[in-house]
Amino acid sequence: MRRALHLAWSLIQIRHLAVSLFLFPLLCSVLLVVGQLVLTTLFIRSVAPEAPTAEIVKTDFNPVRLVLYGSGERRSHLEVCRWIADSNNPTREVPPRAACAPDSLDVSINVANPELFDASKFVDMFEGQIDRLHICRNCKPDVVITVPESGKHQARAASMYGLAVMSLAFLPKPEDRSERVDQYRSVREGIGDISFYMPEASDVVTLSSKNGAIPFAANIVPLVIIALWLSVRAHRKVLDYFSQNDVLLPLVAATGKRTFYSALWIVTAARVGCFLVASLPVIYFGLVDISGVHVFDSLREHIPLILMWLFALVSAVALCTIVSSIADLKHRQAFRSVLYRYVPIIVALSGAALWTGTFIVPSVTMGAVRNVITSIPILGLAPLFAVPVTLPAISVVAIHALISTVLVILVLRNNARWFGAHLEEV
Amino acid sequence: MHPTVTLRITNLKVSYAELQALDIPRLEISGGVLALLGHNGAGKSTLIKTMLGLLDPARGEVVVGDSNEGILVPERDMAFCPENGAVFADISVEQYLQLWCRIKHGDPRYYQGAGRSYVERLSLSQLLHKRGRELSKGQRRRVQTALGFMSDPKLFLFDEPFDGLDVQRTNELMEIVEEERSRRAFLISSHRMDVMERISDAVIVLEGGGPRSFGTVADVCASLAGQHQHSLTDAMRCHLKDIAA
Repeated sequence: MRRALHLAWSLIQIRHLAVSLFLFPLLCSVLLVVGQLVLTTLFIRSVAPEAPTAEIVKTDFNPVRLVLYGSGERRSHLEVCRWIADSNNPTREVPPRAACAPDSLDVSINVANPELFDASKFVDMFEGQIDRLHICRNCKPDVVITVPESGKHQARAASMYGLAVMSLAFLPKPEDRSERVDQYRSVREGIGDISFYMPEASDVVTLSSKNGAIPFAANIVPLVIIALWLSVRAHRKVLDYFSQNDVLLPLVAATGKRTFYSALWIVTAARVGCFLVASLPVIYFGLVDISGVHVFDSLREHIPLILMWLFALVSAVALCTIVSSIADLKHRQAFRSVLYRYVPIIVALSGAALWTGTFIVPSVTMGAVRNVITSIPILGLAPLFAVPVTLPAISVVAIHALISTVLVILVLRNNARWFGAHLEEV
Repeated sequence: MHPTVTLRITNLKVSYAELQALDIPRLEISGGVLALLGHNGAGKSTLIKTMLGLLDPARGEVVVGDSNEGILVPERDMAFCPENGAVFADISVEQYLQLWCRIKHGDPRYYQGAGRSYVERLSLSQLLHKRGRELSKGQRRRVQTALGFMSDPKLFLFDEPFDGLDVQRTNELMEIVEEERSRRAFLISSHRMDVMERISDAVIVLEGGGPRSFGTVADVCASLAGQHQHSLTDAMRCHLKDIAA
C-alpha cells in the first residue's frame, strides 16, 4: 500500500497528467452542479404558488382533454352530484340520480357533510374540464380531494389519468394576467398537497412542491453519475496517458502490476474525492437555500430507504459505466463490442418505457410489475433514480443493490485477465 | 565471478485469446548473458513479458533464480527495456529520469548522484532538456537503457536492443553489457546472431512459441546444424535451409 501511495503521488506530480486529471474536469463538474442547482431553482419557482408566471396556451382546445375524452374542446356541462344516504341502508351513500353514476375520470370532494358543503370553488375550478363533480363522504374515482373540517386539503390521484384530470384544474380561465395569478393560488389552495396512489409504495407518494424528494433526487443522481464518470475517465485517462506516451509497459514492469493498479485506484479516488469535496457543500447549501428546510424533512422519515438507495445508485451506475468502459476498451479488439457499448443505454431506456407504461393501468398487479422492474439492474435504472419520490419497499432497492454489486465484481474479475493480456494495446 | 541467473520454465502455456503464443513443457538454463533468439512471432517478447509478470500464464510457471538460489521478484530485481525504447513523449528526458528515480529510489535526484555514470556513459547529457517525442529511436533506446541500469536490477531484460543501432552504437552497447555483467545478469532478445554469439554464454532458440534448442552457444550450434558448424549465424542459416527444404 505504501508503494502504491508513493507511486500515485509520483504520478500526480506529472504536471500534464495532474492538469488533465484534476483541474479541467473538476471545473467542468462544479459548473455542471451549479447549473443543475440553477435549473432546480427555476423548476421549484415555476411550480411554487408564490410565483405562478407560466404562460399557458389557449384554453378552448387542450390535448390532455383530447387524450382523456377523445375531444380537446371544453366539456359542455359540469354535473354536480351531492351523494345521499341509501334509503335501504342509511350508512351507505349513493349518487343522487342516474346521470351521476361515477366514472374514473370524475373528481370527488370527500367532505363530512356533502349536503351543506359549499362546492362553488371546485365547480369554478373544474367547469369545462370534467363531466361530474361528486360531493360525498367516501366515493373514490381516480381523483379524490379530501377537505377536512380544519387543516389543509389533500388531493390523491389513483392513476396517470387522475393526475391528468387534476392538471386540467390549473388551466387558466381569466384573460387578465393578475387574475390568473389569483386563480392559480385558489386552485393550489383548493387542491392542497397532491399525492399519487402506488399500491407497492411503502408510504404516500407526495408530488407537492413542498416534497423535497424531487429536488433531492434530481441533484443527487447527476452527482453520482458525474462522480462515476470521473472515476471511469480517470482510470482510462491514466492508462491512455501512459500508453500514448509509450511508457505503460516499462512503468508497469518497474512497479509491478498490482502496485500500478492500486496507484491507479488511488489517483481515481483522489479525483472523485476532490469533486465531491468541491460539489457536496454547494449541493447541500444550494438545496437548503432554494427549498428551505423541507428538502430534508420528507426524507428524514425514510433514512434506511435513502441509504439503501444511495448504495444501489452507486452500484447500479458503476455497473453501467464499467460495462460501457470495458466495451470502449475492447472496441479496438472486436468490432461487435460497439454494440455491447450501447446495450446498457438501450436496456435502461426500455426499462424506463416499460415502467412508465405500467402506470396506464392502475392495479396491484402493475405495482408488482414495477417492483420487479425496479429490482433488475440496468433495466430498472430509471425507476431507481425516482426512488426518493416513489418510495418502493426497501427490499426492492436492496435486491437491485445486491445484484448490481455482484455483477460489478463479476464483470471486473472476468475482464481483469483481458486487460492483463492486452496491456500494451490499451 | 560474474552473477548468473537460472531460468526455470515448467509446463508453460501463454495465450492471447484463441492464439497460443507460448508452449514450453520444460526448460532450465543458467548464464550471465542469456540470448533469446527466434524469428518474429517466435514468442520472445511474450516470454519476457511473462517473466516480468505483465502476462499471466494460462498454465505453468516461470521462475528466475539468482546464483544465491534466491528467486527474483520482477519489480524489485528486474529491469526491462522494451523493443521500441519507450520514453515519455510529453515531458523532458530529465523529468522522465526524475520520475523514474522517484518511483524506484524515492529520490528524484538519484540520477545526478549514483546514476550519473550512466547518463554520461550513454551520452544523455545533451538530451536531458529534450522531450521524448523529439528523440530518435536510437536516443530513446539509450534513455530507456540508462533507466534500466539506474534501477540497479539483478537481471536486465533487453528486448531487441541492437535493432536500429549503427555499428558504433552497437559496439558501445556491447561494451556496456560486457562491463555491467560483473554487476548483473542479462537476458537479451535479438535477431543479431553475430552480436549475441560474442556476448552471450547461453542461448535459447524459440520457434513457433516453443523451444527449438537451448544451452551453450556450442550446444545450440550442434543442435541446430550439426557439429561442423562453428558460428551461431551459420548454424541458424543452416537450420533455416533445412526448414525451407
